[in-house]
Amino acid sequence: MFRLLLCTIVSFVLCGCATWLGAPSQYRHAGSAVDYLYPDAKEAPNLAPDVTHLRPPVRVGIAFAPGAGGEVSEPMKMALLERVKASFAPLPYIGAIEVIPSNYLRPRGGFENLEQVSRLFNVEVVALVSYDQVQFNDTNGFALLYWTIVGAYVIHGDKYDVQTLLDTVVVDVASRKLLFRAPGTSLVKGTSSMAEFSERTRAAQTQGFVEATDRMIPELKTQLDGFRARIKTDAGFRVENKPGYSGAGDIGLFGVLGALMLLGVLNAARRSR
Amino acid sequence: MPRAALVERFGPSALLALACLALMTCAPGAFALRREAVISGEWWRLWSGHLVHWSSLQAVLDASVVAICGTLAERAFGRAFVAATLLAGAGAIGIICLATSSIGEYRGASALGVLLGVLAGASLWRDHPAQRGWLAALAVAMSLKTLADAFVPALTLTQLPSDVRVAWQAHVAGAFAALLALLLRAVLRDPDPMPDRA
Repeated sequence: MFRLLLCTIVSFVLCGCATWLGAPSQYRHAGSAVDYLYPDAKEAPNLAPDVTHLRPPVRVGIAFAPGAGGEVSEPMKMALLERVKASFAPLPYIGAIEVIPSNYLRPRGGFENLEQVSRLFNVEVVALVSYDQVQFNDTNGFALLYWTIVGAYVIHGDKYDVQTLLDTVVVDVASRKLLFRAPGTSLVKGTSSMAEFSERTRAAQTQGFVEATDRMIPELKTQLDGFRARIKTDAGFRVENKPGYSGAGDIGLFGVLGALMLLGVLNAARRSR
Repeated sequence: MPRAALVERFGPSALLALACLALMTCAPGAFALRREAVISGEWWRLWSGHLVHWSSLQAVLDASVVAICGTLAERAFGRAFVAATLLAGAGAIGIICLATSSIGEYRGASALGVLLGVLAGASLWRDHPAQRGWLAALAVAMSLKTLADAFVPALTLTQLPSDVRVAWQAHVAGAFAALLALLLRAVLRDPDPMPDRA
């Protein structure tokens, strides 16, 4: 009985080593557009009920909201924003999309900082991407085998969940009005050996951001279409085309009839000969 | 049909119409004539802007006009002349369009359709004097349509998206490009470029 008790205690202690030596049980990366735009808000923002003027082709800036906790790497942020940019750049009512690096946005900078940045990058509308990524780490029963040393390299005794939420708010800088928003979420689960844990979870974090971005892009398009339909009837918005808007060489049915008439003239001339 | 014969069968106008139809659903933004892009050095857009459209219907209508008028023009003036006129005209129309109007982005082959229409009309005018009444009526109708596009756009029947306007400047530039090409042809190649064949 004593031996059994001793074995049990030793097993628990060795199993615990994996946890003691491994990663913390939770990581979090977060950046909130609300914290950035309204840093000291104690009551609802007092927006004047004036008309918001939109002048397509609109120049748009896109940026990640400054982070409050563990930061996401700048190259990853830029790569994700470039994906969003590529999806919206061909739209005729968007003049240009400027990717704004994070270091231009001051944490808790508010609309004052946003206005400075919009002047610097010459944009009228800014899409701010909030992010919240949480990683939970746990061990499973196989972690018991880590005590064999070799087990730490081959046995998948650690598991992780990476939950990612991206949320883009599109703001008109001049009127400080929220135009529309769209979310994207992702859940990445996996297991790993103790030796590979750090590498695998980093890859899962990247995958989480990529998947959430891929889900956010179609949602953004849907919301954008809805917004375009809404502003046609919403008295709070007025669309005024800038000089230099879109033109089409559209000859239309009238032109086709003209071309057919030329054929008819040729036919008539041949018959009359 | 052997490949050589197939290539020979299609003239520059038919190839242009086919290109418009082929690019109907391809990312038009990547090829559209955009003022900012041209200013920043993407000169090829002066030509590629004529190949892309705002909608499939616009592409089909423009391609039809290009194919019909182009075939008539090639019969009268030859493929080489039409191809050279299209190539030079497309670039010139793009430049004129950006320089003389407030258009920021242009898509459509209709200016080239007008160019080919003027060439076709000129050939019929030359070859069939008895039909000149009809041709004059058509010219007047097209001029009125262009005036309506310019000054009363609400009257224009178009299937374009609501935020896109008809670029009448491009149509006028296309007509002038065709007239200039005929004039150059007259000066450079033939003292009497359009002698009556009748």
